[in-house]
Amino acid sequence: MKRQQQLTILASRPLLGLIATVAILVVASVAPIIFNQPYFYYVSYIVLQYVILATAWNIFGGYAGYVNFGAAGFFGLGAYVSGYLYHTYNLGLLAGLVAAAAACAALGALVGYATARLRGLYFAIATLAISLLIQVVFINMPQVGQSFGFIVTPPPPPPPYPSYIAFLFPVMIAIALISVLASWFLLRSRFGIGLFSIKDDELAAESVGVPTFKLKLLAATMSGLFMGLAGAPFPYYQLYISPDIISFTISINSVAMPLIGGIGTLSGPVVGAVLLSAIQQVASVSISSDINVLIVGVLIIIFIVAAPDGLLGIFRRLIGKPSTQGEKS
Amino acid sequence: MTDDGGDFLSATHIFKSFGGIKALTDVSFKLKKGERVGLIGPNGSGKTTLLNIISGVFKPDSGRVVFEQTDITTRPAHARTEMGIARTFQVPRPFQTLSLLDNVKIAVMYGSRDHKKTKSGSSRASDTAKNLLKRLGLEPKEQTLPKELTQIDMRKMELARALAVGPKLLLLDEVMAGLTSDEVDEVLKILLSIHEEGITIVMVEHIMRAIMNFCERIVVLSEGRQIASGTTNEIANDREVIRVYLGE
Amino acid sequence: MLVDSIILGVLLGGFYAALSVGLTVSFGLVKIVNVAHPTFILVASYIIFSLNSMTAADPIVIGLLLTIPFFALGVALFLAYDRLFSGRSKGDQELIGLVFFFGVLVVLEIVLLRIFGVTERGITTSYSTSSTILFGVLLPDKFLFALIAGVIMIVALHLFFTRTFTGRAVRAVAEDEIAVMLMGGRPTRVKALATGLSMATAAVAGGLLIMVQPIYPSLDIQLVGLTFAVVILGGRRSLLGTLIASMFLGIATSVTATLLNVGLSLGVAYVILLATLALRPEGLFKR
Repeated sequence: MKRQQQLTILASRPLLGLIATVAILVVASVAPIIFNQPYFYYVSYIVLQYVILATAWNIFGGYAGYVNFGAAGFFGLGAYVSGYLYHTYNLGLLAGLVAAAAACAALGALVGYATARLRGLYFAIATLAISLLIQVVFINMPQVGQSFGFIVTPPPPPPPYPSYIAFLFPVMIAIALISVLASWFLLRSRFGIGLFSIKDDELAAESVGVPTFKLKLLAATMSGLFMGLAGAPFPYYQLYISPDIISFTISINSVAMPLIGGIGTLSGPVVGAVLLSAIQQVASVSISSDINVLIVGVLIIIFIVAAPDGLLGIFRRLIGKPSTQGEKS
Repeated sequence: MTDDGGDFLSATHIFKSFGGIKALTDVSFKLKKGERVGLIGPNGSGKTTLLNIISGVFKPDSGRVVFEQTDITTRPAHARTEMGIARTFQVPRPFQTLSLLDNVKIAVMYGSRDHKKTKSGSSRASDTAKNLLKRLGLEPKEQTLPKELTQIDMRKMELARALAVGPKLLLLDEVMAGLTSDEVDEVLKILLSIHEEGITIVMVEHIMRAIMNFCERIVVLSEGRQIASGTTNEIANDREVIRVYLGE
Repeated sequence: MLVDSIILGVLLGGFYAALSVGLTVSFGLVKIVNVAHPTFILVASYIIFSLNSMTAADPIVIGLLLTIPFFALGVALFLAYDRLFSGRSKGDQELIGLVFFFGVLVVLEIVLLRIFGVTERGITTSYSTSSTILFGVLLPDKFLFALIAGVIMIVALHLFFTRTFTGRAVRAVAEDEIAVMLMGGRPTRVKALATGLSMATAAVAGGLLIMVQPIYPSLDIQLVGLTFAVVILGGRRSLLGTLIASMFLGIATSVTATLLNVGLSLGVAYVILLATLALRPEGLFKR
């Protein structure tokens, strides 16, 4: 089957994709004005947050094959930077987003620079250490309230939105769309195919002219940037920032969601994020919040053993397509 | 024993050890532009290591590698590829999740000297890759995944990928290993046509027929040292070479 | 004051060595990335806690008894791991193993959380608060025991790996598995045995852990940073490296706790890990 045929309608007709994106944005922006359903916005915030995190993780983890075990650290850094700027200097969400993106991009670049020479294994351990270190730093930093953290009083919602959480809905939709679009461009670009070649065989990639170090550095930076964006609105959602937000659960989910959805594809992380967030919301309400983490852990084991291509890989095998990467399913 | 070196490529006084194993000891290897040179020797003599040092997979412990008057001793492999040094691998290393066409296309996109003008979606990279596959008889298989390719197809893919970067120097690491006699001839024909385009070729091989038919000059390594260098005839009759290959 | 903290650091180093040596074996020699090793140590601690509350037996003694079932667990774990993942390519295997054990870590930690809750659990023994005076310095007995245990474990393993046939087989497999196969050896068996040993050390380390400090389910994550710092700084496979790196980290964390504060002391371990990865990822020693 020709690879061209495997690209979906949206991917091969960018105009349609653009229209869909704008449509989603418009609906998302208008809906909260009309429908005031705070519970829905609270739930969807978390789902969208994970869509962003999973997509960001996938850029370095799924495309290049470098597993990040410390997504919580990046997320937390983004949240702290954004929260601190608002709490101390009264700078709003936009400033928070920009600053968080910059800080986390820098962190991604730093970690990438230090470890891109090494095997992915050492990168993974380094990311775990970084996230732990970030938590230790914040626990000991008086400017952010050390282990107590600080409270955030949200600004009044921009009219005509009924509440700030309602306003955050289109914001998160927008960030999610940006990260998915960025991921999509990456997938189809020269940069993307370079990353895939690095994942397949880094030595061969280097030998055919792929500047592996530079590409890895860029991918790590991009991945960090989007994780920072995922964390930036968090202070406005939770209204409280403390070192506890650098929770291991976030790191676990950031690995599990792309894995279960389908690493290395565009929609895999999105599918995984939506599915797992939904399961976790249901489980934490009906059973308990740690059972849902247990479920994720079990799913990680099951999928890494039996279905490393994730749900998308299973789907593709069922309908008879070869498992090539770089496709939106 | 003459060393007809040249200033196209020169690797001088190369030393390389891995742990306690001395892979190369004071090896100097020079090439003139347009030569067809064979690099032979028993297993473990350092041939692949030498290729790896020229192509940039390893850096030598000491010694220099100069290509077209530029010192490339510490340059990363991808930079050398852009300068025009291409290689094939002893055991083919395809990108398993990319189609045959994409395997070659990526080399065009990244390795060719004017790659900066080539975008992923541009038809130029696709066309160049398709033409290469056509030349090597692989066109019908362009959408197949590497795991479905035969041994000779994979060797040809390695060649196509190496050619895709538009090389000036082509390093072949046992490209004929495991091929039938007919297939060896097929590859030899391809290599000769490549050479006619002005590409300098270094061939590491165990298949003597290929070496004798293809190479003008042969360098012999044994246990990390160069023990002979000369024309095909000279080497065929060199007592030291015979001893090293056949034992006393 | 500083001298005291350095000496305490040496004791701490022995404790860290006991925690990490299992990783030296499994990560360095068997080459499986068992990030869940500290979690297994924690599991052992909790088992010891439960048995201690029933029998009042000494935690280290229970730990020693646990080495046998833990050894079996290690063997089983490796055989399962091998069965599941041996088909993958070498490069994939490391990362896949990493994610797999990451999943194991999560599952075990939550199980511990469900059974024991978040409250810290501790054991008091006759020597929990006593100290010995050696060369004019006051040394807490529990850390003294940890040091002795840690050093004994390293020495015992060193002797095993250099003097016994099986031990040398493990090292041979770590060096060149194919060569061992060609010579008729059975690498899988050897690796399973080594993993069993690694788990057995976890049992003892579990006893030391609960003797030294109270435990809680999320302790394992912090220990991951610490133990990997030791093993990577020391040089993945080197027992001597593990010992020296443990001492270095022990002193570093102790001095940081004294000069700055306790909260930052683990942070120092993470910084050292990151610095090692950035500057000298192969660690201090080769073997």
